[in-house]
Amino acid sequence: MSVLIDLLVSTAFLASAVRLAVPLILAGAGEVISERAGVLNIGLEGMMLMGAFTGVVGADLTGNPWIGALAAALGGIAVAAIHGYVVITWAGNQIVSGLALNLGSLGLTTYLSRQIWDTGQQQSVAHFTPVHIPGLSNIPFLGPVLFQQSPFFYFAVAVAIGLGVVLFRSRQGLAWRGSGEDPAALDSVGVSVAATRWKALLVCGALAGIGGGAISLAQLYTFIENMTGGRGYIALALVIVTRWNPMWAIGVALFFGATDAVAVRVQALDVAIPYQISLMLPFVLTLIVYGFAARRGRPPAALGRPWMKS
Amino acid sequence: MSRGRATGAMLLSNQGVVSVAVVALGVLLSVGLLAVTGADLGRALPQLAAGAVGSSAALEETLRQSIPIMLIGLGVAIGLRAGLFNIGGEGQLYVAALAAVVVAQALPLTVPLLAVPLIVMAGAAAGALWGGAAGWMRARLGMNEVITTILLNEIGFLLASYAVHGWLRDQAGGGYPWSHKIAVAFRLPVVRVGPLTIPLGVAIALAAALLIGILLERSHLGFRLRTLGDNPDAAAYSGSSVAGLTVLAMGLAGLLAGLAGVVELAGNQERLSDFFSPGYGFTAIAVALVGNARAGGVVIAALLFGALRAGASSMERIAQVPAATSLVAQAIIILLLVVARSDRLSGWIRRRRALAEALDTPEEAE
Repeated sequence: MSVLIDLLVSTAFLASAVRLAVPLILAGAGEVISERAGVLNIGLEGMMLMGAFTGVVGADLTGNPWIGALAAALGGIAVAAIHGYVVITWAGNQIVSGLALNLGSLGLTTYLSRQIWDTGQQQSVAHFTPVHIPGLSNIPFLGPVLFQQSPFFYFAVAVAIGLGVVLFRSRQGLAWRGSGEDPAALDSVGVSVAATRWKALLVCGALAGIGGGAISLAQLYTFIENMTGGRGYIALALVIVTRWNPMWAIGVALFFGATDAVAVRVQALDVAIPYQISLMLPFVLTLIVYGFAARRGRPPAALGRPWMKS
Repeated sequence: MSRGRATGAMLLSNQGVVSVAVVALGVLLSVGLLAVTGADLGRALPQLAAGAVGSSAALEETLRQSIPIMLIGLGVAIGLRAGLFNIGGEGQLYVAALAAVVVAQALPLTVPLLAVPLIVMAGAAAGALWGGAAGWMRARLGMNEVITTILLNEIGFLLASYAVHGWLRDQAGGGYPWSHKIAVAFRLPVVRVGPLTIPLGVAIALAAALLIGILLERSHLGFRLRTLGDNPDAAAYSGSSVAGLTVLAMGLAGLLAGLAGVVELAGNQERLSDFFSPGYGFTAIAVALVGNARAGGVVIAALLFGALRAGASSMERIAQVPAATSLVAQAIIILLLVVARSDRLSGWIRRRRALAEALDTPEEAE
């Protein structure tokens, strides 16, 4: 038991919890924006996986991880654009479209990765290494945990806070919230609901793509089939726990990152917890936390409902 | 009360022609995608057709592939009619197959007449529990069944994976993480019809389709389920227990997926592995949508998708086109179907019809 406690307060564990939280912060904050604007995006997992894939392709082709990160954003945006075309342009069913995008992204990335790299073990590509923030990274305990992370972490925190400010303090944020609460009212004041929802969805796609890129370019340095492994589903549930506030995505994601980190650490420890059970932990905890949060928040009133100007 | 239950754009429409056209267009687009990415179409396409319907072995494979997606698809259809989205077929199938294997191995009985019902019940009960749990979480805790069934999929799969890597593992299994085969006496028999060897699972799936068809269209319970889907407030006013119906619909969907797991185990693979399902639970959603959530439609759609799966896997074996492309094909088909049944397209068609009728009406007023 004391071994476990030592582990949970070790800087290595907390640093890995923070690292594992990064994709969830990005995808979660993106999904908050999309859902606030009224677009349910079940395809989050697919967007992350596509981003993880295009990120590695970009970094592999150019040898530059920053171009890889850009490619990851574009990969997520591409999948989001299909979702937008189906559910905004055609006003189709949002759940089914998202589901199809998860299947399609899994199939396409698996197929293309085998076409590009054959099936053999792939080499590491150009990737991100931790950035030591001068001064801060030397603070005992907190330094290694918070200030020796990959650039994705600092970006994720800035984006989540920035989106919180935009959502609650700007005209754009007001339009997003209007589009998800009462699209007819938004339309009546002359703002295009479709354009508002498109913007939110593409932001979500870009962030989910970068979140996937954070897994492939800052954790594993390569692409592996289905490497997001359900992180997108956890991020989807996380949004409800944040009560649709992008800033809260940081805190909630850190909690889930920690459960993920426990899963990873437990395997390294010599305790008799099988691999599959530790992998299961984040999903079970997500279910439990979601169960407590489900009735506490109120989803945007027009979430999941297509809107058509009549 | 009704908030969150309405899934947005309507998904069901009884235009069978459109559904078939959508599937055909989806297959064409997927083939185009294969061509763009440099697959050898000259070899791949004939193999797709040959693997689906080209021989009696191919037809048998098509039938075998149709059974699980037909059974799970019927469950998805029940959910859709009741306004619920069961995405959990995959997890329900895995826990059911796991329960069935455990019971099959634990039973001291070798008399199939006694043992087989127990095995089937164990699987069906496990599936019903996994599905019903999502129904309960929706009814009592207000948790969206789309998200809970997705999470339960991951958990159910990992449970089965844990079992076959650990205590259920056949150590002489050639290094594969899978269980021992279930006893020969517990396996489903096959039926010979002319040159074809038809798995008994086909009969089970068709019988289930008949029963579900009667339940949904002809029974009072079916009426209440459909009312719940169309208008939950009306269902509550008319005295139905919304919570009870929700748990029942999801439990029934889980039971059917569980049955699919047992039939797949006893009639096809004979043992559990962590590659037991090549995405049956997800294909079943496409099946239910293409089949318009009607029992008859699900049967036809399951045969169609079964043929597609059989063709794709033979294409993979012979022409080295990865079966992952069949996931892409399914995604394209589902997306086209969503567009074909979208609010905008159906509204446009309605307006065109109204216009055409107005123009056809002879002007007698003058």
